Amino acid sequence: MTTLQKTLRPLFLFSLLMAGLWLFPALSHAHTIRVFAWVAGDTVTVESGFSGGRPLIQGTVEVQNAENGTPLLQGKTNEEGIFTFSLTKTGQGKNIPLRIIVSSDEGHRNEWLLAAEADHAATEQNTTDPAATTPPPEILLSKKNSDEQLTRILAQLLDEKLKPIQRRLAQAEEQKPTLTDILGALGYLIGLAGIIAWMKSRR
Amino acid sequence: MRQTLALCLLSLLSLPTSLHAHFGMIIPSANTVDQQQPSVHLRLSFSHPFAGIGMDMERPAAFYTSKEGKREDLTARLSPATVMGHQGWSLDYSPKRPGVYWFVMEPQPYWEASEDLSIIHSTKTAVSAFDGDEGWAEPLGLKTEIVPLLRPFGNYGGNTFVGQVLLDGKPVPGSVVEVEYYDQNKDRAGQKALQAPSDAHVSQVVLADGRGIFTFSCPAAGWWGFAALNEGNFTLKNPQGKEKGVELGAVLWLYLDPFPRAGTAQ
Repeated sequence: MTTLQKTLRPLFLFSLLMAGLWLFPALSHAHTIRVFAWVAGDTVTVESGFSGGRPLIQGTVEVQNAENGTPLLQGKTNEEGIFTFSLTKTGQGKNIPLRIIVSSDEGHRNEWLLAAEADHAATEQNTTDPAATTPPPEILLSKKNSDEQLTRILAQLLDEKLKPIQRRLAQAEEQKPTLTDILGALGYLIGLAGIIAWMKSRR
Repeated sequence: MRQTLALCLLSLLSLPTSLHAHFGMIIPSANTVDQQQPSVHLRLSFSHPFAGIGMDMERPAAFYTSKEGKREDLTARLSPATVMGHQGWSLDYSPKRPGVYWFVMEPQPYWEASEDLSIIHSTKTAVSAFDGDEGWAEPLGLKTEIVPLLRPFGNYGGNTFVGQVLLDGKPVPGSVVEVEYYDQNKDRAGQKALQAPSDAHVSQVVLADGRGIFTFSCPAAGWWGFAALNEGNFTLKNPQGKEKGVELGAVLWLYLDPFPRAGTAQ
């Protein structure tokens, strides 16, 4: 690749992307809210957006007990359409089902019923980085920490920090190597062996 | 323009003469999944959809789902099933995240003695999961495929399907596209199979324009199959070991919901 090509490549990719956006202007204007939520450990992640994929920013999230409709907690989605909360924060422990209602200022709303089977539902890659979201307030250390509390907090912290890794692991599990991958890897090995052989022969 | 016309005429001459067209088929139990119905049951076959006549199909060479460019191989998960009285394949699939899940079947070549050629129908259909609606217009990179220009879910009977025929990633001007309705009435208790007014109505035919784009208005709700048929630029051995031509079919299955009736006020 020449230097010129190298400089032009990002530009080319950018124009391609812009062309792509141009092709689908209508997709970003529809206004149906979509909601998707899942549990990983103690954390519930709520993902919301509009049809076409734009995130719902500053959407109101209301979490209810799905059986009796008791409101449990409220929050707002971030700039990526994500809102996370810990199950302990609902005040009813790990008890689900939960009804998660997401609404926008314009009055659009949709909901997701979080049932027990939904656990570990999200094994695919998520575009957002969960580490970027603020940790739940109970993680903050207080003076009266007993050993038990410390253990709990540590477990929670670990859960939080390991989440991206967990997700990536799950994703890796889902994408098993294909024959092409294996052949490709073999090709690399043969190629490397070839380079080594060539270098040896030069000596 | 003249080139297109010539191509159209050429294609007309090469129209297959069989009454009932063969169609690679992937028919999911629904083309959307939501929390109430979070999984689909898919039935794979090589059949005559309007007549409801099946044919035995060997285990497909490949079956996978493709979502936003990521593929998940499902070939090993297929289990034998009887479709229209013949050997077909089936599996249950539960989409895990919102998105458009394309299901793709690459069958093994089928030798059709009466047409003196092998047939390979690369077949695909889309399932929208949890309101996901991104990426449905992306080509999947198949040897040949129909790329929908009408979103392939959330449509009504009577809607017009628009698609572009690609072969080796390039549009096919003047491509022949056969269209057939999947008549499931025979399988339903107390229902009789549909009677076409004439044999010509069984498989309808539309030609793509100079950009490989075709349009077709489906007159009723249900499953509609579109098969863009082109000759492959290679040959395959027939069971007698002779090199013979190959018909490459790009098949897309589309479901149209019935338009809702207005409810009467209480």
